[in-house]
Formats: sequence, C-alpha cells, structure tokens
Amino acid sequence: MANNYNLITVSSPHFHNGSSGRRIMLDVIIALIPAAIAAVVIFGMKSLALMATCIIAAIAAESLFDVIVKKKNTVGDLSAIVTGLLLALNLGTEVALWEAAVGSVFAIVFVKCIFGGLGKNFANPAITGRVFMIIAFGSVTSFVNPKCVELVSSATPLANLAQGAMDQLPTVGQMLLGLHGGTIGETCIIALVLGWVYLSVRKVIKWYVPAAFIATVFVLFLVFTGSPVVAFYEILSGGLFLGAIFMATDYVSTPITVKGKVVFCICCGIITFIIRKFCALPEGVSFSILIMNILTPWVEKLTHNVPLDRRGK
Amino acid sequence: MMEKDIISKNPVMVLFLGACPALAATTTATASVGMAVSVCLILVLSSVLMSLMRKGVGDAIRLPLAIVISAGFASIAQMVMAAYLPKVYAMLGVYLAIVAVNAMVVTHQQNTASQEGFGASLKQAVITGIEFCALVIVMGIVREILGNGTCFGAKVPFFANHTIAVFGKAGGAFIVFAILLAVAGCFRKEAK
Amino acid sequence: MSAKEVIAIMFACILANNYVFQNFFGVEAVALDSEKGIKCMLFNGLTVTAVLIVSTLITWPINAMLASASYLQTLVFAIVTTAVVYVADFVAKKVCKENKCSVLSIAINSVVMGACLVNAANGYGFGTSVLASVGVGLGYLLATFVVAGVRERVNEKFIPKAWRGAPILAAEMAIIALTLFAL
Repeated sequence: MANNYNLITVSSPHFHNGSSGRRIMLDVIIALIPAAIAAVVIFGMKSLALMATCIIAAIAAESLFDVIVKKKNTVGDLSAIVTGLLLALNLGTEVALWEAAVGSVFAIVFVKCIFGGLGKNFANPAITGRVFMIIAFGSVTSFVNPKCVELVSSATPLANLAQGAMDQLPTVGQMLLGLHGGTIGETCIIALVLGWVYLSVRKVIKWYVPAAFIATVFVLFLVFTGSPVVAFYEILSGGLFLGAIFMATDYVSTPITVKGKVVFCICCGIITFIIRKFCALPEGVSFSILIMNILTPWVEKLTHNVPLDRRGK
Repeated sequence: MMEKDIISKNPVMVLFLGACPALAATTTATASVGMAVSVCLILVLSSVLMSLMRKGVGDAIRLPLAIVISAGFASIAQMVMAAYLPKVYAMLGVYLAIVAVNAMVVTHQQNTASQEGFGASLKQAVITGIEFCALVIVMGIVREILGNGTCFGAKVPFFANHTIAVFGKAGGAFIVFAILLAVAGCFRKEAK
Repeated sequence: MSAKEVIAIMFACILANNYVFQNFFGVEAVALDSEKGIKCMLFNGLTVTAVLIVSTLITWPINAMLASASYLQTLVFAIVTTAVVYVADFVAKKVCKENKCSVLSIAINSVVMGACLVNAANGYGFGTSVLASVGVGLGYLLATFVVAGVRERVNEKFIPKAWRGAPILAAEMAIIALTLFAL
C-alpha cells in the first residue's frame, strides 16, 4: 500500500522534517484528551495535579538538558508533553507528586535525551519511566477505588482476576466507563477507544496494530481458561488498552515495518499473558512493551521487507 | 588478544572493565569503601609484582600469571578482611573473590605492567586505582542515600523520608554507574 | 530432578536472576563481546557455557574437599577456571582453524568464576550446580545478543560527547536491567 510506505518514510528513527513530527505529536495529545478528561472525572483533581507535574517536569528536564549540552531547545517538538502526559496516565492516585516528577525526569533525560533526543531512543520513555517508578516507589502499584462509585471490592479488577475472585468484579458497564481502581488513564476504555479511532482516522497508526496486541491477550486467556467472560474482563482490565494504543505503537521504539509492528504486538500479547498468569506481578503490559522495545532490533532483522521482485509467492 | 584499542582509546572504558565490583558492592557506602580500597590495593600490588617479573615472562605465560597473581592478592585481601573487618567482608561476599579475574586488574597487568617500565606502570596503576576508588565510593554513597536514606548507616534528614528504592537494586546500580561514567568523561576532557 | 524443577532453575538463571544484569558478573565481557558479529557472539556464548559446565564439574568436588581450607578457594577456583579456558582454547583451535574469535578472553569473564563461587556459596548439589551453570551460560549468551541489538540501534553521532562510549552502554544496560524485575 502506497500510503503504508509514505507513513514509514515519515516515521522512526528520523523525522524527515520537524513539522510533520510535530503534527503527529499533536494528534497523539488530542487522542489522549478523552482519557485525560475521564481521569479527572473519575479520579478527581489529583489526576490533574499528576498530569501537570509530569508534563512540567518533563519540559523542565528537557530544557535544562538542552542548555547543558548546548543544543537548541527541543520542547517545541511536543514529545516531552506527550511523554509527560502518557506517564501521568500510567500512574495511580496514590503516587506522590515528587515521585511523579522524579519518574518524569528519568523518563525524559535517561531514556530519551542522553541517547540523542527525539527519534534516537530505543525504549519508550513513558513505559520505561513507569517501570522505573514501579521498582522505585511502592505507591505506584497500590491502587484505590475512585470515590464516585460504590464497588464490591477494594482490589482492582486485575488483582481480582489474578485471584480468581469473579464475584468481586465490577459490571461490564463499569469496566467500560472506567469506574474502578487502576491507573488514572487506563480504566476508561471508551475514552481510550475514542483516541484509537482518532489516531486511525488521522492515519497516525494502523488500527489493527493495537488490535493484534489486544486480540492476542484475549485469545491466550480464552484458550487457557476456557472462559470468554474471563478473557473479556482480562482485556478490559489493567493497562492493556492504554499500552496497546499509545505505547506499543510508538514509532521510535517499535519496528519500522508494519509486519514488524504486528509481530511486536503479538509478542507483547504473549509476554503480557505470561507475566499476568505466571509471574508475581499482576500487570504485565508495561514490562512486555519494554521487553519488546529491547528486542526490536532482532524483530526488525527477522521481518524486514523483501523487495517486490524477490518475493517467492 | 586483549582489546587494546578499546582500552587505550577511551580511558573511561578502563573504568568500565572494573564494572563488576563497582555495580555489585555499592549498595551501601561502607561496602563500597571496602571494595574500592581492596581493588585499588590488589591492582597496585599485582602491578608491582608483575612489573618485577616482566623480564622473565614470555607472551604465553602472561595471562595465566596475571590471574594467579591477582587471585593470590585477592585471597590475601579476603583473609585480612575476614579477620579484621568481618562485617564489611560479609557485605562483599563473593565479589571480593571475583577481583581475582577482574578485567581491569588483569588487563592492566597484561598490557602495562608486563611491558612498560616499573615506574610508568606503577604510576598508571595508582592513577587508575584512585579513579576507580573515587567512582566506587561516590557510587556507594549515592546509592545508599537515594535508595535507603542513609549514609554509612546514619540517617540523612531529607532523603530518609523520600527514598527511591530502585537505586538499591540492579537497575539503579547501572543508572548511577552510567551517570558517574559520564561525569568522569567530562572531567577527563577538562583535564586535557 | 523433576521437569518443573529444571524449568524453574533454567528460568531463574537465564532470566529472573540473569548473572549479567542482576548479579553483575560478566558485564565487561558482554560489553566487549556485543560488538562482534552474530557468529562470534554465538561461538563465545556457547564456549562460555561449555567452560562453565566443565569448571563446575571440576570445582564442585574440589570445593567439597576444600571444606576445611576454604581460604584456598579463590586461588584454586581461579587456577581451575583459567586452565579450563586454556583447554577450551586448545580444542577450539584444533576444531575450527579459521576461527578469529578469541577464547582466552573468557579467562577474565567473571561469569565463570562467579557461577562456581555462587554455586559453592549456596551449597547446591552436584546436579543443580551443573544445571545452573548451563543456565548461567545461556543467560550470558542472551545478554550478549540483547545488548548487541540495542547497540546497533544507538547511533553515537547523536549522543552528547560526555556520554559516548562506556556511559551510554551502561545506560542501555540499565534499561535492560529494569525489565528483568518483572520476572
């Protein structure tokens, strides 16, 4: 598809001209707005404070770094804002503001700036920031139910699923609207899907790439537990939609070709399933994306496009 | 056989060759001081011994001899520490023994001590040793303050309430190491 | 030993408790090895595994004998592992004559000595020790490949001067080490 290849020329690891990269960043920010609004509505003003802290910390860190290495200020490419916003949406309301700031600075400086800035990092900054914070601060993995709804259980749906406590789960309606515990951006599925639609229509992402991730998790849980209900709840719980739509599709840290991206997402799905099912942590999405980021060079080696005249079929 | 070019081209890489003890033994400041001083002494003493023997040593024998020398000094260090500083010895555990095959120590013996003059190689050993000491001790202090809120066991006011646990763990070790190597790189450039 | 135990040990040595990223053994060796081509990395990784297995086979009984003279452990282990490396080098030279990858550098790869010492310190049985050694070697191989992949991706031109070379490598390893926390 011609359009496919145009998109690839624009994407990672080099934006051929600053304005088109900026346009994409703006689209991502717009796509995140429904989730951000949902976060404030469901979880209250702490969400707004977290988002503001992360974004300001990211901008400040990047500006300071640019000054230290004597580079032109790069905040205008909006990537710091995207990283800050995404990181905030990956945090729960129990996280202290100073912790969020530290995580944000780490994500921007250590994962992106020192490697050369936009387009040169190998790992998604927001995801790595979240992983850093999970290890660094205990508050990142403790979730509280939002005050606006009465729920049966004080544990998140993901935790309940891990325990097999099916009767403690919220209703499907509550799951879709995000009225349950979790990070501020991951719960409201409807808001995230709006973002997904927007990004697909704007041709920033291919709609089926996140779908591959989500479908893989669904199928694996379906096969493993034999219950469509459990599988359905599993994909609605935790950071799956947020990760699949906004972070597993990051141009810079995922394979260049579409085939590579799909392989990337399927592998993410497999790893998420393994971590959720067999490892001590309830949530596997963040780690699976980061693991695949690290393996991206090998995925690219295995899925590089064969020129048309050399294809066998 | 040893990648001489990597080492001579980038002095900070020499410090990287000593990464194992630097990363492993720096969760607390006390342990890091113990490790830093031990490695430094082992480096210098091995260098001296190898230098003294360099005339009679053929190419093939150099590597095994270097390892035996550092293993010998590492063993002595272990015995001394176990006898006089048992707490620190417990903190260092296996990693003090590993200094026997430490890339930095052995490579220095191989490339410098066995080939250049006694004075030159001793000077190089002392310089590298001191840089390594600085790196490791700073790492230990930083990791302990940030990760635990203490310094040499004593609580530090602000940091004790705001600990960032990752710095006590493996990932955090690499992070601090990376930052300190970058800082070391800066100092080297200024010195030139 | 049941299959489950074997899998658990393998999983622990290769991933969860990867000797390079969690125990810091062999960090320098990974740094040097990951710059070479795929064949060389594969060869080195497998040779490290072989050396590990043989070293464990020899040091485990020796350690049992040395119980009363434990101060000799470091020296003896170092001599044994170096000897095994030289044997491996001899074998490698006989088997593939055009081989350009140096095996002798394994002598300063702390993975070998580290695994032997940790096995001894934890008091593992003979079978567990050997199995663990296989796992450690494979974990080292994995580490080399992963770091090599990331290094290819990172272009030194764009990195600030102070960070080029060793620091950025440590930063790459930092991010890799963070992910292993999950496992």
